[in-house]
Amino acid sequence: MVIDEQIVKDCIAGKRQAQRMLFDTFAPLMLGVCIRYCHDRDEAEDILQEAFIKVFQNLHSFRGDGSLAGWIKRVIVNHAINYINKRNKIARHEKIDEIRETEILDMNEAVEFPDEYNPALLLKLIQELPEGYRTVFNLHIFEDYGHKEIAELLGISENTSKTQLFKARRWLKNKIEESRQKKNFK
Amino acid sequence: MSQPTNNNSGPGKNIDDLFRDSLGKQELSPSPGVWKTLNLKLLARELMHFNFINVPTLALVSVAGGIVLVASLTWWALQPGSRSTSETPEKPSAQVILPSVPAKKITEPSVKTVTATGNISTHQSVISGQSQAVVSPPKRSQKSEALIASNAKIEKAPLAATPQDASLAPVPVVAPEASPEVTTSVTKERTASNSCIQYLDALEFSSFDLAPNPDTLTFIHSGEVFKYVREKAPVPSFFSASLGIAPEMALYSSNGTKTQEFNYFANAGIAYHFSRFSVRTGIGLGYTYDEGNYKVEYRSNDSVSYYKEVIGYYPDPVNSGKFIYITKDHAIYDSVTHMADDRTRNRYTYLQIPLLLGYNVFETRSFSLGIEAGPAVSFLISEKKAQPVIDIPNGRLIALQDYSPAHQPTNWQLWVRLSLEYQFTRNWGMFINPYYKYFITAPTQSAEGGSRSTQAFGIDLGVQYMFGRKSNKK
Repeated sequence: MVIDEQIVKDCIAGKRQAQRMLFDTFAPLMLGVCIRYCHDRDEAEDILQEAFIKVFQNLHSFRGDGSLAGWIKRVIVNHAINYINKRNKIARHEKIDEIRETEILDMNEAVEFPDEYNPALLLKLIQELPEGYRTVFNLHIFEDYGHKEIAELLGISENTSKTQLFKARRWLKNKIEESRQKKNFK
Repeated sequence: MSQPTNNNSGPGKNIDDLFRDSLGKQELSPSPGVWKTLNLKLLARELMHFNFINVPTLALVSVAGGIVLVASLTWWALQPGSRSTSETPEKPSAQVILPSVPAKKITEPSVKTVTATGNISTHQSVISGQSQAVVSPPKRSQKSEALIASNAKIEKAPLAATPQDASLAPVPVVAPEASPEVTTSVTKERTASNSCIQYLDALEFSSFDLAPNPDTLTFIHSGEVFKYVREKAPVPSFFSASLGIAPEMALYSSNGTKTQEFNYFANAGIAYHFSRFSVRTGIGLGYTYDEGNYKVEYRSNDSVSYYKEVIGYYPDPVNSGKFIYITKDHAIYDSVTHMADDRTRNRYTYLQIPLLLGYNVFETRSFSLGIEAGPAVSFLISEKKAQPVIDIPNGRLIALQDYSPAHQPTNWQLWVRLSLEYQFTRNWGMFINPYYKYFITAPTQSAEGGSRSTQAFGIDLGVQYMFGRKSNKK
């Protein structure tokens, strides 16, 4: 995914053809990111649209230190988080308060899984995760955020982040085990 | 940034790697409608900012053609020929018969003055009756159009009393060519006060101008000179309501730093006009923009030095007893704290209420140019701060501080503006008002606590409706 510097400049200048080119280049990967944070594809496409507006508005602030894809991904993830926070502000706070009371669990649980699972089924499992679990799981596993960063981003404590991640893993593991037993996987 | 929690073990994967490997690079093609909707949203935003870079040429040409068409139709509708039909019914009339009068020389004429509220600035003088100073025949006498107002009256005055009298003496006299039996229209008051004034319809005669003053018309009848003077009309007063939009440029200045932003206001106003003066107020809803400033403190692993690793050596063939070392450079990394600025664009919504006094410096039938000035107060009703986009590759965010200027809930301004109005009908008009705003109280404070001086320039464009207006301005 190499984008010519001139295309970036044209995007900043507001030229639609260049913006279209940038969108066509990065939208498939970014939709793959968005859909992990949402219940369904429609919601993911809504987030993608709004996030790309932000991308085009703020492209001038891209300093070129890292990759453009990484920068766009960060904008997309931040927008997805904001979107989710606005939508489920009250519900999320209730769940977090409940979890804060739990003890810190061991995060180093090692479980083995065969690696032939269907990505579509794995995506479905992520989408079925409770929202709090899903957000922390996505940020930690796919975006490589540490718990401190997750805590700052979501406005929760580090311990809550760790707990959510643990519960997400346990939830997913149980689901996979159930599926394995039903021989729906593989 | 990541905290390794699980490791691959055995032939399978741990749950993190399973998901990361399966979905980390997943790509999904968006529906075709996603770009279409995005394109429309981007276009709408651009149009809001008067950016037409992505408007299709065909659409631009169509809009331009539409504007030309509307302007042409408006111009055509405003031509005198098309407008006269609407003015004719207002003219009071009473038919009289012009008596047959022989021409004769002017001898010791006296001046009679006719006063009226009508507009006679384009009229010509009339000489008829028994005098010899008679003008060319009437052009439109059969149309029975009265050209003077209903409350005209006639006064008699000595000839020597007016400066126009001087122009009377050398005028060559010409016998009238027109039939004396001319049907015309005059007001009842006038015929009652002086039955000799029967050529008033013939004010359209092209004769010599005895009265260069547009408010005065002088003519001679039966050896007497009549002066037709426009009577001062009563002071017109009426209300008007207006709607407009005002793009403006706001200039902020603080500690030598100057920034500028493009703002938009939608204004609704009412005004009371009396004579050439006006008092105007209203409300305006404005989207204003200001630069947000965030200080970003982050830490990243940067190369701060290097060391040389000796990976081999051999005896120096030239200098016996010495060795030549083969080395390799290695960078030394350390966490380094960085400070960076991140600029955003924040939006603020204001409600403004002006109170302006105006004076029309110049007026014609359709145009007027005036000046308005007065205070205005603005209330901050909402603010929308853009979130900073923090992109720190291989770094970690330590702190993020908001140094955006603080907008005050209320501020006072002094407005001065030119008022350029064009009336396309009796009641409807449009205006273009370039204006300047000086902020008496600073609307914003910098993050350091100092106030920021602010000025703004803009143009208010819109339409207005005048209630109860009797007629167009002169």
